[in-house]
Amino acid sequence: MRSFLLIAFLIVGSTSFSQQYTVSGSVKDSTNGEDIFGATVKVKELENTGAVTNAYGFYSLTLAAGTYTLIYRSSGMRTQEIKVDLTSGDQTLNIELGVPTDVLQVEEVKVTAVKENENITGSGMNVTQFDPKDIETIPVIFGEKDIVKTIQLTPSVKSAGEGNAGFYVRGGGTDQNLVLLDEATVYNGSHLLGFFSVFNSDAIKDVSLYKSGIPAEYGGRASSVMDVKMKDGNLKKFGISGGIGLISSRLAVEAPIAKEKGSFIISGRRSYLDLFLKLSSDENIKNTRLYFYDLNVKANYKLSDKDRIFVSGYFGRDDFGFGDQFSFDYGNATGTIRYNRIITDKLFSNTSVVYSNFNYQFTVGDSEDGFGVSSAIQDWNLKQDFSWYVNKNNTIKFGVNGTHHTFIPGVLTASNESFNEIRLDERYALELAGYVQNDMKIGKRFNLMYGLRYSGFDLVGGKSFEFDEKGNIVSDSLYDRWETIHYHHGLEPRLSMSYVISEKNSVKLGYNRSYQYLHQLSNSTTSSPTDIWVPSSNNIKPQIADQIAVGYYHNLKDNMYRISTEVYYKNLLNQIDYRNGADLVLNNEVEGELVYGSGRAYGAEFLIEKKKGNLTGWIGYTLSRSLRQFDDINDGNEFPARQDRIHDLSVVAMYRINQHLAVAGTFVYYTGDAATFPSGKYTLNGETVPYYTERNGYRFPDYHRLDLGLTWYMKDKKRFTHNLNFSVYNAYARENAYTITFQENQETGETEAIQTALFKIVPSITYNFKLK
Amino acid sequence: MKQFALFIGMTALIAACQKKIDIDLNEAGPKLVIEANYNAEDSMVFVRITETASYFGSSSEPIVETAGVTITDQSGNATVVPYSSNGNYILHDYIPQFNTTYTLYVEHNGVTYSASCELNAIVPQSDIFIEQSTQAIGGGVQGGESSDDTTYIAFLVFQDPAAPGDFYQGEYTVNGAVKSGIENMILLNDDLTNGNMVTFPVFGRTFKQGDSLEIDFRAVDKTIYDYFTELQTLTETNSAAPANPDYFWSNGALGYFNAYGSSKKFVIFP
Repeated sequence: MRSFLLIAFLIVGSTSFSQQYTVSGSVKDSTNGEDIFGATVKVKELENTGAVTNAYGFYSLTLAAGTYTLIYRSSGMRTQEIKVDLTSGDQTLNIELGVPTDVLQVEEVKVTAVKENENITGSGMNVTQFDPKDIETIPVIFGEKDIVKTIQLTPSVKSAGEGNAGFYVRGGGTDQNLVLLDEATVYNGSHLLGFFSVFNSDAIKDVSLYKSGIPAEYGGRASSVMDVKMKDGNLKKFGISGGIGLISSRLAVEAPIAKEKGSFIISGRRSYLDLFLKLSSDENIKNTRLYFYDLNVKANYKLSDKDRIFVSGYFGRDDFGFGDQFSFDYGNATGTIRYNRIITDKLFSNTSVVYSNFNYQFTVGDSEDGFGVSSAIQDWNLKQDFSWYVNKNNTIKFGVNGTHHTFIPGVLTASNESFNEIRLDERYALELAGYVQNDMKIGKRFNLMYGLRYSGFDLVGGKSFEFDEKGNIVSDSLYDRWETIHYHHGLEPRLSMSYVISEKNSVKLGYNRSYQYLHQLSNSTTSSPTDIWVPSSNNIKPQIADQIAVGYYHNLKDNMYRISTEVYYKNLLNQIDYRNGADLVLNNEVEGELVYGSGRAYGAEFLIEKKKGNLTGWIGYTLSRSLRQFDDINDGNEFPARQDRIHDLSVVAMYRINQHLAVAGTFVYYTGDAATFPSGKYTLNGETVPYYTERNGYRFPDYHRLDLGLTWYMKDKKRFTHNLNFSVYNAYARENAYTITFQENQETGETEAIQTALFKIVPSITYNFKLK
Repeated sequence: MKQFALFIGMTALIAACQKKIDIDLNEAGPKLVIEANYNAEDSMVFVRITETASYFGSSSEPIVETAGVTITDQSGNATVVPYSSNGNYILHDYIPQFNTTYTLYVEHNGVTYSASCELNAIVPQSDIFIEQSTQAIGGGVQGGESSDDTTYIAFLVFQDPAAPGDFYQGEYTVNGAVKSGIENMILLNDDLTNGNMVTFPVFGRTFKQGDSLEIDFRAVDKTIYDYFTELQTLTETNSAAPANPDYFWSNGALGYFNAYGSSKKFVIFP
């Protein structure tokens, strides 16, 4: 550790010490005053010299005394060039970038005007950024635009099933993605059993997905990081936007609190599928409750030119019920308070207090005769991050954070006298991390980002069990509230580098090691909100992932086309699976139901994008494997993970017909999921029982689907824009297998394989509007 | 969790469509299957020995007629279970000793397979409790009949002994013919109900006037509870990674050995 820091500072310090001055400031969107994350500030006179704005729009650039031209760029914005005189002192330059005038009428449609070869020259190969506006015309199921569904159309990210908002990144599991909403961990990212993500696109500013070479500031999950940032609210004027769809409706209100000083946004969404169910003549369907809602709230205020405070929160809930016999509801709540301070023009600080909670409860029967089960996970997180813009070639980020986790695995309350009230042992843990990272430019062509993260996980207080190798309890011990049961820790090196061969092509490399201390237990194919999170302990070791990735990037025809190829290899340690017949619900000794093994995933990804013109879109293809090995499963032989999709193809095309009409289509094809099917049968109790020989030795039929969409931008009124979006999910009615079951045909006595498909054609229509 | 599964099922019903598909399955070599029951109430040992068969085949399962079957009590006294017919080996008048362990040996083609099971004291059923219902619990599929038909749900009732660590298996028969089967087999432990008077709904169906219901309720060994719990998860369609239940028999034969005494109750719905 010490030698690492020494080397880091040696490199940092090696630049010459001529007279230097700093230009710093913020970059904002001129239409609404929102900070722009990832805008570039290039120095025209110097090759490979510049800065990138952080999540709060702040940049800082230290240059030798002189006069320079700075070029400010951000995707979809008009580029600005500003002359700056740095001969006599530091400068502050706050810039607002606007949308090019020729696209003002059709603002919804994003035009990529600039930052054309940022993919070549930037150091981050490993991050994909999404802006909800970019994907507005892409057709989605039920017409509910969903940024997670669009991310699933890119190589390296795969959907966790039909219409599912869960996703796999490069062979990892759905629980191996760190999903952050304004820094708060979102433990369950989906609504309605997975068909919608919790991210209301009206409230989302941007989404960054890190899939390899993950920056050292992030940690806690093995596979990827999805960092979702909420909109800050319009600093300039009042605005309302919303949408009315078949399944749900949205409304967002934003306004300045004090002009240019503070603003807020409140955005809500509710589904109303249950209203349609009431129309059914079937009593069972009629008595069904089935809806979700969510609310995003955010406010920010500038205390001074150097201090700014943000408060944001999310609250979402799903509610299912069936008469008074059964009800089930679950949801996330998160809250973040952030305090930004520009300490000097080279040092930026952010302090955050973050709260996150996920819980579910279900009740069976009524209050007089029934029972209920509830479970929760709750986090309090304190974070301190610094960005130090050392000089034009080095930006150092460092920080610490500590999280207190509370796990409430299950509480059973009963009014039915058959059941005893039961409260599974609560568990507590402190997760601590510190990191330092340098983003560095070497010469004109070489960018290097290297960092180190130290993470520790202290399971404290409560009861712990020791098990024998068959999962039977050998002994148990009781600990005081803050007494350590087990401390796990590790070093997580991170590296990302790029070499710019020319203006048109570059090669990049990324490596990261990540520790994951929380594990999700699930024993069904469909993701369920009742999947529980358990901490690393004396029995469960942290999952460790090592990943190396190499990529080549090439732009063609004046950056109209981008071609890229990335290959990766990922090694996973301490993976978790279950014993036969494992009971994961309301089980105090659930750790005895687990078995441990390892995994590996590797693949090659190809992507061709067309970024300009009336026709835009991409074709992505991935060839990959994801394998697991457990001593206790499959006779110790390696077997494919469920998400081992060998071939995966996504085609996205968006075509702008004229000012009023845009069409879009997506096509996906992938190898069917690996599955376990019987290789024989036998008779027990007079019934046929399947006999299995291997884990995941079979495949579902290949999956493919075409979606089509049409967006009609209706004539704008003065401050009012609106559009109608028609979409058809699964346009050629492919019956993709959701489940495959085997059953005996009553007539012939033969066993048959029956597949169930969830959706045939799903048409939908959504009306969107914006008043500003 | 059944309610939850039902719920997913109902949601899916709104749009789901099913069809038969062709899947190529590997042929596994035949494995021995031993299904052994010692019913203390009838003093009868009943052993059925068969082999696994091709999954999509429609022929009846291959039977094993030449195995040597022996049952041994806790003191080591061995008694031969003679071959009867059709793959069945039957021993009558085998007097039970409760709270002792029995071991069954099967010798076939030079390999000996063995399994042990404790014969637990009988826990009597108190009653079958019935209740009128407008809606079915759990097995709502059977509901929705015309409104003048009264439907009933039935409950198994018993007093759980004070000591923890009891395991139960219950099978029911409706109208003398329809069996609960493995899917609706009642499998209970007393983790949540120790020492209580337990009222547990009979999942899977509702009843009409004139229906009869018999519940055969057994206090069983933990190994039997575990085995059938694992077997039951195989009948649930959304299990991510189905696997054979853990081997009950030495040397990798499939099947189980259950020694039990049972308590039966019978009711006709008024």
